[in-house]
Amino acid sequence: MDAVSLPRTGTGWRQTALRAGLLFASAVVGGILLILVFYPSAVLVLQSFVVEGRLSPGHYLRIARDAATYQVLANSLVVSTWATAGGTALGVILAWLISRTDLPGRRLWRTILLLPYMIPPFIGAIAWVYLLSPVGYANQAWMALTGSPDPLFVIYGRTGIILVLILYGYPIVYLVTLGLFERMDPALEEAARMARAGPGRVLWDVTLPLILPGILAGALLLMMSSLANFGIPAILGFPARYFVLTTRIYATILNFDLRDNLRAAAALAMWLVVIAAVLMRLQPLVLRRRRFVVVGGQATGRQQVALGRWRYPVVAALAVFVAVSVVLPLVAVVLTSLIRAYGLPPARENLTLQHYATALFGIPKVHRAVVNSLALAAGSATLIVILAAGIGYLQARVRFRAAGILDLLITIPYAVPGTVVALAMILAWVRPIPFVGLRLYDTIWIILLAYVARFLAFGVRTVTAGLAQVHESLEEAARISGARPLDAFRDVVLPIIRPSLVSGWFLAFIPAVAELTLSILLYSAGNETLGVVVFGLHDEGKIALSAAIAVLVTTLLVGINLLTRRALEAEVGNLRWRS
Amino acid sequence: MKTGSLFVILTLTVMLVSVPWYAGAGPAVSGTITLYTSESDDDVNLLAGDFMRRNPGITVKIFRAGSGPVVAKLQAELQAGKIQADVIWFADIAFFQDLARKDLLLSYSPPTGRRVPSQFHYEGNRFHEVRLIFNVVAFNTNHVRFRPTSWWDLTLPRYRGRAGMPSPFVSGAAFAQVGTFASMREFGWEYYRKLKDNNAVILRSNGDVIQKLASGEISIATVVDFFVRNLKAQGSPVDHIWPGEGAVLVPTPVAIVKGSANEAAARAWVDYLYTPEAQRLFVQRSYIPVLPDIPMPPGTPDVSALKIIQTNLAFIEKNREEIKKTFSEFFGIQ
Repeated sequence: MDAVSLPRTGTGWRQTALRAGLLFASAVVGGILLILVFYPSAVLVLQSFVVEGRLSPGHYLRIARDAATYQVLANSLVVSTWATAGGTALGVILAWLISRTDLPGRRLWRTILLLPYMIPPFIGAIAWVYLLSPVGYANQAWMALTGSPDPLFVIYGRTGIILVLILYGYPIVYLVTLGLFERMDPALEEAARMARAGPGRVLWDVTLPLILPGILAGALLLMMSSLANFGIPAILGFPARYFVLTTRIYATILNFDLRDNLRAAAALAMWLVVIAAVLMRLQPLVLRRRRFVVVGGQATGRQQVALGRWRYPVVAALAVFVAVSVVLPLVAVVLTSLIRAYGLPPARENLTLQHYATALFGIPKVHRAVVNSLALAAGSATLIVILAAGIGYLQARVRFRAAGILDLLITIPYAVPGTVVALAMILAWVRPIPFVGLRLYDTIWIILLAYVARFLAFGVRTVTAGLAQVHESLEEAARISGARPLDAFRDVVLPIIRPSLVSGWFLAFIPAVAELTLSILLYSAGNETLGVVVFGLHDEGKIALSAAIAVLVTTLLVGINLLTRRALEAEVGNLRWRS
Repeated sequence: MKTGSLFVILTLTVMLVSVPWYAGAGPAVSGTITLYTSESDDDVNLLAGDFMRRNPGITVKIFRAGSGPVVAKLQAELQAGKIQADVIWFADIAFFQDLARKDLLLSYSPPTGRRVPSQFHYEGNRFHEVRLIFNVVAFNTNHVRFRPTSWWDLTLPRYRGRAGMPSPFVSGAAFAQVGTFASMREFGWEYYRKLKDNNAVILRSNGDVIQKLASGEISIATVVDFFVRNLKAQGSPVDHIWPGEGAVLVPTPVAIVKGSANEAAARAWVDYLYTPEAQRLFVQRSYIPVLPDIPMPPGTPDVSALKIIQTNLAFIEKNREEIKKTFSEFFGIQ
């Protein structure tokens, strides 16, 4: 009798303990999210309504009366709309070429076309300055060749911002579309072909309508990413006095002579929040139509479109595209980093490795920034993965009544632009925490906190996807066999989700290494990051030095990216973007 | 003999320890000081490196940005309760005055004796000038055929779209000049209206301006003098003139923040900046020193022979917000 009843009581006790444990874990995760996301968001909204210590819509009224607001808002929308249109067209065409045609060397092209994605956009913008500033290499070459006194094209201002946004943004749509093309059930196209439709008609009447919702979702991501971008409009817009919302907010935060400037910036930030919210709402609307799409069949026996006599012209066009969009800017950065003094012609006697020596040994903050950025990226990625494992596990096991709120808390910091996240962090943590007396502002911890909040969604999405593979019964089986809940988690769940933990870690790590938008507003003495140092030196006119560091950072990032390509491709499902 | 030599050694030791052979190198001061500055990155690192070599116990942590961003940081910290820096050093003297009036800066007289003119110690020794910088008219020697003479040269039609200046929102020196010019009958806002009509380029920092001048992206500019001489010495095609109306003296004070956790080290740093060694480093980077017996950088006239426009502090302090607002209305920048 005893032998039979004992296990049963044991199970009952264990059930209770499990439930208590899950409840406790939920409370911990909930608490962390409240501190990490809810509190700063609430402070941001609240402060935007405070004028000189009193509740008032004053900042909103002043912004609404200021004509500059509408100019900046229009700039933001114009730039991101054009960037989205251009980037989407480019991304879809490239994805089609790679996945649906008999293009020679497709596997190589596939990776090469992702290169812009691996380069931090603000470094890309700096590279284009070297090429197409009024005295950039390309413009100088043009003027020397044609004898024209005027440069060919100056990258500063609206057109330049749009072009560079396209070049560093198209991979978002490219990745999404590539995934759609490759996962689409080929039977549908096959059927159309059987009905004697030519390749053009198949593409136009069958393929494109099927994947259109997916493309639109990708375009929305690109739109949000372009709208949120800070580095590109900062580097290309300032010289032309062309401001968008993110750079205007940044300037407002720094304009201390404007009364209540932080709160005014908070009110301005609400524009971005509203636009981001609208775009976020559009996403499920667009994707809902996807239910009618047959996606999911394994791609077998797909027929490639024969390019025929277009084969080599297409390859040549691709080569030119890559040469202009990837190789030239990189060459410009490397060249600039090697030139003794900016403006000298790139002749051999003017080349030097001096700037690398100065970057690595002459300016202590560069060295510090390398350490800080790697530590921050690794630290935030690790915290994110741990937190994501907790969140994902609880989401799968506990039916939250507040699941929607939980999801919102995870999504907010990655849906709103980084400039807004940073501002919320400043407002929330600028004062010492009551009772504890600890001050996060001016420490490296506020940057860590911001990174964790910002990139948490990457980790959660990846880990949730991994956890979906683990059915509860597996754990139950372990528990019935006598494993304690934590052991069951460690021995059964963890091994299965380990690959997604690793991808999630890299997904959070990579964008954090050269993060600029958050760091530029949150860094303090001794807590510089790589993004801050490159941007700062460029801003200060230390052109060659910032180029040298940019070369080192880019090499590091492309290296990490190429080594973890699988994680990168998983991003298609994770709807990741950068700013 | 034993007692005698012991006495001598002891005396010598005491003398060595108590009589600093240069101020600041006294009994080993140690700790970390945080410096907020707008000083050019490589220059301030050169100085800090030299200082730390001479004071092995002290570490200088540097937060460097344009005067604008530095003050923004200080403002945020003030709102939160306390300045986190031990020493501040940037080109916004009106802000220093404000801090001094709020009694947030330490009154301290560096042991320089009478060698530094008293006008360079401000507000009861609360902040100090350690070297002099001037806003001047600089130009690209390949592009400019007629040597400029005046501030008004920037408004000449032949420099349309090719005259530049740093943004007063980033550069404290530019802000000081805009404020001062706005208050002068000789220039007034008219000067900036003309600049705007001439399609002048508003860049970010002085460093940015001098680079673009050297590369030929702009031909003529308002910029801080030492940048020009420094680059000229490296072989870049740039030069500057001392404008006939006067060069604008840009105060760039250093101050110790009151209540600094490491006051001794902060004093040591300020003392160091007045040593002949530091002053020579300034000269090496083409700054004009404040110690009279230090040789001037090549190609610089005697300061006493220069025509100088003093910064109009009172006007700037009273009209800070207005000045920036008017400027941003003109040029559409922030």
